[in-house]
Amino acid sequence: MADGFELNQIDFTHSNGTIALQNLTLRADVGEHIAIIGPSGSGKTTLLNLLATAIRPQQGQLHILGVAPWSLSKSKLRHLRAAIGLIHQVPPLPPKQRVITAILAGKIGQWSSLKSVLSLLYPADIAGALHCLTQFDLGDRLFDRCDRLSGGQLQRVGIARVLYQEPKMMLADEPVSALDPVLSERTVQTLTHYAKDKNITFVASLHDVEIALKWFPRMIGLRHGQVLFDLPSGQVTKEHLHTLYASEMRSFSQEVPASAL
Amino acid sequence: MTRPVLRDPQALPRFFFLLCAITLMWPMLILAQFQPMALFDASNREVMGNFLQQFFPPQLQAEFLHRIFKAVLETLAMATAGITLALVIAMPLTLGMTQSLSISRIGPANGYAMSQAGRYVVRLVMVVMRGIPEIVWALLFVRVFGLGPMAGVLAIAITYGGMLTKVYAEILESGNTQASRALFLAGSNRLHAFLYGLLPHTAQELASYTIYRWEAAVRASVVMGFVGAGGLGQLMDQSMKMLDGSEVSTILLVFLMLVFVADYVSWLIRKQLA
Repeated sequence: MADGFELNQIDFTHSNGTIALQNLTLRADVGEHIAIIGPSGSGKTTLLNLLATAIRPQQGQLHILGVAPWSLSKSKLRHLRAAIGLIHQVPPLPPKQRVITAILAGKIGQWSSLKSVLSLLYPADIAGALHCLTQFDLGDRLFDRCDRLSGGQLQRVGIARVLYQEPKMMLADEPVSALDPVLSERTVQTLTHYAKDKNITFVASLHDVEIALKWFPRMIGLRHGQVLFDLPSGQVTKEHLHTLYASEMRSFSQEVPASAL
Repeated sequence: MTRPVLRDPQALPRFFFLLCAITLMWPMLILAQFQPMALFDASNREVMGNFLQQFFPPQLQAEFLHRIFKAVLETLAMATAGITLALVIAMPLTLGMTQSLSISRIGPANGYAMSQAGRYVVRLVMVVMRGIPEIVWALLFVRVFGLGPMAGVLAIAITYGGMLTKVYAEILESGNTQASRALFLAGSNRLHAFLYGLLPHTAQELASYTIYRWEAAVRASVVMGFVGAGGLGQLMDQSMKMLDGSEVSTILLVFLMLVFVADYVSWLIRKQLA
């Protein structure tokens, strides 16, 4: 069994009846870097949530880091979750929290209960948090409140928290959606370097295909909740991408009235 | 392709519920004998005038003021001890009852049904605690512990513990729960998800409600004084029985001052937490 992840004939349907993933089978080894691309609503976020144990599939088998999360005991599931780092598209940071607290929160799943509580009185690891934040040029914002930061800065604080968590598997849902092209590329570079350094599995959904091609050796194209292609990046062709995004292009040209063009 | 609708589809249901609310309210007002004009009736005005006239001037004798001072301390102690105990009851129950602090809801994991059932039981206990008025609890405890503040403290602790739990849980559920959910996904437990994920943006509201409850507890402890739980209420009860309006008005003035102070403290704390 791969210690990355293994999905076997997974089905997931949202509570409103929308089918998000259908008969999905995927596996990854430790240390693989995978980019997931596909049009909006193709199931990218659902797939990442599945890997993050945020949702439970209705059908199929799922193994993350070598274990089946939904048959674990409560405390074992907590341990597994502490080993999975999920970078959310919208950083889930309370506006009134200080950046230092937001970053240190990455480790509360691993710290003792007392340490987590005491850290609210005096930050338990200022140096560690600073080290993670400096990698994103935000070292001088360590003691600012989150609501003082711009959307792009906040997104990078969210990323810094996951690096601080030191996960065994890193997941990222559109991690650079609020960043400009130059910063986007540098941030993705930092993430892939980190994953390589620690030899951990790294899965990211991206809408920038060029960044995905450049930094990820393996690419998965998702469409309508199914894998359209799963190839080494070198083998992904223009035709692949065209088919992947085809439905979006067509529906737009149909809906836009002629007068607006 | 469906045609876009140019009409608010929610308009009809909204209008229907408004109509329901009005048709329900009307008979209630009649049941409650709601007749505001009676306030301005000539004979009623005279009765009220006479009643209010007794209140003037307030009693300001040193000996009485000294008694009031002692009673104020007793009332404050009763309210504060009651609220503190209520907090001790409410905090663990809130952590257990709040939906947004349910780990097994994510997934949902095995055992979600069990934890939902547990939450339901806590909710029922809450209803009993706050459903029985504090004065009834006080009457019960006076029989156990005898006359004095102890009965009042316990009565406040129980009723207000129930109220605090309910409102805390609602405050925690109404806010943004993304942060706490993200922490659960990073392996956090319930207490830490609350401290790191929910408290930052709910602290102000939680503090404000707690202080308001303290203010209400001061008032409640006065009412409970009437059944022998001590403090300002007991003093007021004596003055009322002796038909001494000037003493009652002094007590009421002191009372207003207490509420005023509570208001100010609440403002100070909210400013700190902003």
